[in-house]
Amino acid sequence: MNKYKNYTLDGLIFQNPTFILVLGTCPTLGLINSAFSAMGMGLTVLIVLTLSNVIISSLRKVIPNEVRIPCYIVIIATLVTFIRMFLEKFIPSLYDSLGTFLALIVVNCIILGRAEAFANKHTVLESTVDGVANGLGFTAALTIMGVICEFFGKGSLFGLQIMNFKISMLTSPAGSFMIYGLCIAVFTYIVDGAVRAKRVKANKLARENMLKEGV
Amino acid sequence: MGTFIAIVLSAVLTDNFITNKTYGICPFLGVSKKTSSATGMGIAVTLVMILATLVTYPIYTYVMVPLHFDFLEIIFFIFIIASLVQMLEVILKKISPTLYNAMGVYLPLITTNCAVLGVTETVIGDMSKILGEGVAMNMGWALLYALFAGLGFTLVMIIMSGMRERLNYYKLPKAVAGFPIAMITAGFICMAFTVFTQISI
Amino acid sequence: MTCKQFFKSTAFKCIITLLCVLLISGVFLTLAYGFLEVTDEEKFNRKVGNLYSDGASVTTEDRNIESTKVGSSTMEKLWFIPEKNDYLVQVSSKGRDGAIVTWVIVEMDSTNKKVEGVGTVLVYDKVASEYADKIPGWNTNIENFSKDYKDGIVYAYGTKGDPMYINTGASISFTTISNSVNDAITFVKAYASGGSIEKSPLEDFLYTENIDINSMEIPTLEDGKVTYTIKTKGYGASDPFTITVVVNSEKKIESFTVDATGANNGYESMMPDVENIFKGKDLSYFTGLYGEDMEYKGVASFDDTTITTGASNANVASNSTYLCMYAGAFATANYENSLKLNVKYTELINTDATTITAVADGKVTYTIKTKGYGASDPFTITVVVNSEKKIESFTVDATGANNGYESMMPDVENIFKGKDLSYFTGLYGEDMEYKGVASFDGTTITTGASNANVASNSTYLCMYAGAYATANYDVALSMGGSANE
Repeated sequence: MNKYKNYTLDGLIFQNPTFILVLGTCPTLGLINSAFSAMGMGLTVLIVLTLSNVIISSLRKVIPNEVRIPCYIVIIATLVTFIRMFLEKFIPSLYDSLGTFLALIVVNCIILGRAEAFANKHTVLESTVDGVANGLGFTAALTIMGVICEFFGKGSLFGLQIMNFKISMLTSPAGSFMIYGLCIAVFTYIVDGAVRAKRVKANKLARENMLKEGV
Repeated sequence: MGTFIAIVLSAVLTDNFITNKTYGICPFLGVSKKTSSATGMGIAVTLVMILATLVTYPIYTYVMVPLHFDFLEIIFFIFIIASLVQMLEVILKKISPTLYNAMGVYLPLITTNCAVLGVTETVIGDMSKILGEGVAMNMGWALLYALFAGLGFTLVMIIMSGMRERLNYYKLPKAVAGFPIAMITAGFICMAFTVFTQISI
Repeated sequence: MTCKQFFKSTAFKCIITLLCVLLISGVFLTLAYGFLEVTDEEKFNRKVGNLYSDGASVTTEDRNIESTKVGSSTMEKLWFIPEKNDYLVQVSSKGRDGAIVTWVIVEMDSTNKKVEGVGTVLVYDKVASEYADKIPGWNTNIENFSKDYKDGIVYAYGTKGDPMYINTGASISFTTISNSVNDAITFVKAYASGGSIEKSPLEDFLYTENIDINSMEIPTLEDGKVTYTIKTKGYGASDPFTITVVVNSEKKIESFTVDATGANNGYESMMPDVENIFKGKDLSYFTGLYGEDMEYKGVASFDDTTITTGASNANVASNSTYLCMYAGAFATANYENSLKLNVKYTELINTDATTITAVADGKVTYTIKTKGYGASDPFTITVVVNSEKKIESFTVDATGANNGYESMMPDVENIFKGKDLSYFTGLYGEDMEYKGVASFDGTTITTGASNANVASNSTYLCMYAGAYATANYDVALSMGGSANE
């Protein structure tokens, strides 16, 4: 049970793909000018990532090592194509707001990275947990930044106009870059602080144990 | 002539892949620490973009669309791009081992570069905003667009690397150093590029 | 390596795995595409749905109409949107610098027969192969047209700052857009009630762009003078004008009376005194000021006798003056066209072959070729009508195959001498409808029976020719020379 907890916390916080590992930056920067598209992209990546992890993990003993990358790419491309068709048919508003970035999910470093680093070495259940955790981490990061950019950039939230005060630079790519950079800084500061606190506490505990045993 | 200028200006200045469309950010952040590697990566990406468009555009327009299996484009495109990069790697290893070693691990990473897949997806989509009205899309414009998109990408990479090399001389707080300051710098570059969007022909 | 070794090697396994993955993916996606395909029709419907602000999904039924010319526009496509009870029309008009395509939503009432209003209007000023793809991003999105829908016609105008103002570029004329919308309304009205487009008889007249010919009557003709009751359209900030103009046989304006000016209150003080200035002017006066095409120019200055154009003013006074000038040009330019519309009793006359052979001393000589009627072949008759509009001579030149008709028919050559129109209409009615000959002698003919023999038919044709000659004396005199009627 502990390892699942570790996987989840890693995917969500300590190894957050957007803020700590800084992967999958293209859709991030392109879509955070609107909270709707940011969250939409996050959830889409969550679905694709989880499914890809499950499939690749279940096929990990079948696919030979030499062709693993092409096979992974084909599997991910299939999933992305399927999601794209699904969205075009049933959620056209999301399809239009994601634009080309929907097709670019196939080269999203997060998905290929988790497949290569995790799914081909772990069981299906573990891969599922890891996929969901990383997907949620990505979604949460994107949604937070999307909300910030849209709220301060347009004064609206998910399309509902709330206030008239606008810093319209935040809706442009320049603003996206800046918000992203600031969020990374803030997030790493907090996480580093937490990690350090945890380490300090662990060290203290270990020292106390050593003293106890030594005595 | 007007279309030519329109494509050049939009690909390099007003619709730049990094500053306006935010494609190709991974190498932009990863490789732009030194100007030499930035230039090399930019040129390599440009080359792959041209080759990819050269192969994917005719296959999509003349084979996939008439035969109604254009919904398989993502699989086909990524396969073609991966194969092209693999071939480029082999050729480069044979022709210029020094360059191959200098590129190192970044060469295979061009496959997962959003910019390459991005340009192939863009040229098969609606180009009327870039070409202007009444101009039909054809192979020539597609290649031209790919070339100048790559050059625009290289341009921003070089600018960024120049700024990052300067940043090395400053001691920054731990939370801000590395990615955050790079992002903020990139933001300033984007702001500078918005000047060009005021040009209208 | 041997065959067996190959089949066991990793290279083979790699290839097979890759091919399997590709195959499964391909099959899966093809199946998915079968379910998830968005057809072109659905894509089009979605785009049309974007024309409505409530975001409802709509379906469109293409009514596959032929390209129809209505007014100054061509109707290219028509779709019916059942969910909204609206028609969507694609209209093409010629603007100053090329074709303008407008999409007009025409709203119908619940019975689907009456036009209720106008919805969104989109304009695109460049020819595109797929107009639906242009939503959004059409050049101009005009949503306020619906506010200006009054009794079946849209007058759209605006000045900078008010909600109806549309910043049109050099290639889009606002008049063209409102013409397109009005023509679309006319077309849908006719289409929905199953009728055909009623063409205005004034359709072929010159200078009709700013004139509302569909609500005008045919100009009347009396003593060589044509009287028009002109209804103009609106222009810029000016409301439509109603003007009575009389044009004489020299094609000069005899009188110019402004009857109604819409909401342009107090215009008189701002405008030149057109009612007096225009007296005695012909077409060259108007085209001299506004050009051959009567294009808009602002009024630079004016006094009691002269008006100078030049500046690009767009105020009410300049707009109103332009409308009056345009009406003047319309009246003087279409004198002959109005004459042609006043030709009566043409049903049984072969007008293409009929000529006026001489006009002298107030006498008009016609060479009339009739059509056939019943058992009678066509007649060729030379008629001379004098200034009292009475027949001076009536000579039957040819009778086709009607051999030996003289004995069966009245002596029309003598009986008709000195008769005017009232003689003919007295026997056959105002509309010169067929009646058989009951009896006749050397001086009188009595109609009544419904005989259908050659004699009655032939008599009828001669009577018809007589009516034609006497009734159109004014027109013939004004047309002068050896003109075809």
